[in-house]
Amino acid sequence: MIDSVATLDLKRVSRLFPSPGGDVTALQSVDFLLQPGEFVAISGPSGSGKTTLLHLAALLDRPTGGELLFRGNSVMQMTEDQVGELRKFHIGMVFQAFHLMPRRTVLENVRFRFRYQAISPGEEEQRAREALSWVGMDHLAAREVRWLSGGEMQRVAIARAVAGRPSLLLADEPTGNLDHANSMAVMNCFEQLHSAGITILMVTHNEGLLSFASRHLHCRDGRLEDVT
Amino acid sequence: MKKFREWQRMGRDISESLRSQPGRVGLSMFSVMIGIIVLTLLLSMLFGLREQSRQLVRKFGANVIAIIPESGLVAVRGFRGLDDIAELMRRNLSGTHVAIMIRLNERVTNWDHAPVWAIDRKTPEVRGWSLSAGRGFDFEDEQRAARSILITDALASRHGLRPGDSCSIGHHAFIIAGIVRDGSGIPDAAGMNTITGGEPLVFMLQSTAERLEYSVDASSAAVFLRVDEARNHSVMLARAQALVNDPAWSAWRMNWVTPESLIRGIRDLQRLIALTAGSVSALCLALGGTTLMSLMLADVRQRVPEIGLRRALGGTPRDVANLFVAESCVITGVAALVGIIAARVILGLLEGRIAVPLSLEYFTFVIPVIVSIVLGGVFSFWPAQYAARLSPAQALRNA
Repeated sequence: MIDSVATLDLKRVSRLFPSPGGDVTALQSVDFLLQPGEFVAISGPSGSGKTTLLHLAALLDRPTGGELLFRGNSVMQMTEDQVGELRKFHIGMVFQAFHLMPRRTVLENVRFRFRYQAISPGEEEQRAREALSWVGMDHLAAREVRWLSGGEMQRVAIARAVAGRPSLLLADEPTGNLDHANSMAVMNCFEQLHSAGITILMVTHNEGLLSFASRHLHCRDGRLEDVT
Repeated sequence: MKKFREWQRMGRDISESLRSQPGRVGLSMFSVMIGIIVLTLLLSMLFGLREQSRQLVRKFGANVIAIIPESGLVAVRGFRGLDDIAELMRRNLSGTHVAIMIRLNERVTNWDHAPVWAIDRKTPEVRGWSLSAGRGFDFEDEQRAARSILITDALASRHGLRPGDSCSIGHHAFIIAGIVRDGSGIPDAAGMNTITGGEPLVFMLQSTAERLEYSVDASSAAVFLRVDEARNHSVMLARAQALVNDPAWSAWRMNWVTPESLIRGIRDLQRLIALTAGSVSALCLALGGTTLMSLMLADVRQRVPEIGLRRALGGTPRDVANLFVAESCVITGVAALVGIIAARVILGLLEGRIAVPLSLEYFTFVIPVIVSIVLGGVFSFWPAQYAARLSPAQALRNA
């Protein structure tokens, strides 16, 4: 069902942020290999560099040191347009704050995944409806998003992320704004997507969710430790 | 098809964004609209003046020079004063046709007391008048001081007059020989041009006026020169001016009216209006643009998470910049349309009530629309660039 050939390879990756008081090191010489079909969870305290790592994996940011390979290709020399193409076709993202458009319907929000892709309206709708059925939200396709619960919103956001059939699904604190029941519903979605072959990299504070992942990494002071 | 889809998607994005922030959009539109109204009014005045200057020259005659002597000359020497100037020109300026016009202190008794002018038989030809009915004056009329008159269309239509009808001027009866079509000019003593566009006027031969001893209005008299097309108008003007610089004439001051001097007068007025109203409209547009820019900037700051999302979904910095520029152009475009409708209403109310002519030509409305859309593009450029340069990671982190 889903193309899952994603490979993310971080080699001695560092990320420094300039600040008036001197450079702040968010990530320090991180080595990390994400194999296709894996479900990796990264935990760690606030400010440890989890989100920075996720943004690098999502190609939203670039390392200040080391090398980052996406599906075997170094992104360091790629132009912004080339990186944009990778994000467009190979990466799906789920955010803690959902980032949905409240006045658009559920279906329209999922279709927004294709905003910058040249596919026909018919295929766009078919793939959006398919993604909604994976997360069990197809019955609410016509409802405006602002009338949904937090859990439902996050499931719509997941549908939007996977509608493009990405090789890699990245989730940044996907249950951070949800209660326990909704968190479980969302994690069940991830579990199903993982079973379907999607590679997932999830950042979370919630230790209780780590069991859903096939591998667990811990981030501390900009360094990554394999816990499993 | 792909382009159409992209426009459709862009339209959807813009429509949603505008609907979600009615206050910001309304304020932006209002600020631009004020500038557009002022600009439209200004253009309408400027184009109106340009049209007026064209009409003025057309009515005056493109190759015509009017010599208007100061009133003392005619007061002292009567018809002879003008005749001598005309004769001086005839003798010395080959390639010109000379005619005179002088206002009489007489009015027609039974036609609203229409003013009466004395002319020579050449005047209609020199002034480029045409007749809508009847005939003009001929040599015989001049020789025998015929009791014939020409009247303007305005007078004829007002009283239902036709050639052959009669009237009284002073104690003498006259027959209408012909009717002059409206649209020819007569300069007054101050050098300003009075257009016979609707004025009821009567013309009789100078020889007749002299024989009947009508008195003249010394302040309204002129000698007209029509320069042949092949001749250089400026050279002939200089030669004519040199002739009256002769000691025999230099005691009398002459006013010279030419198409250029008429246009110069209009252009001075145009410049004045362009400078004052132009400054005001430029100021209004600059203020509108600045307001638009600050509101766009606030909009970008408010939509940082959305920008992050668009970038995460594969949107390029150019896509993001285009979205904000397009939004701004839509705002200013709609503001221009509303502003133009408002300006059209104002122009409709002003028409005929102010001295300045107004033009309602299509370009009076097209130019503000173009200016407005350019304004939208220019003033949204910086906010759009700011949005495009936002780091997507930072944008999503700040959500």
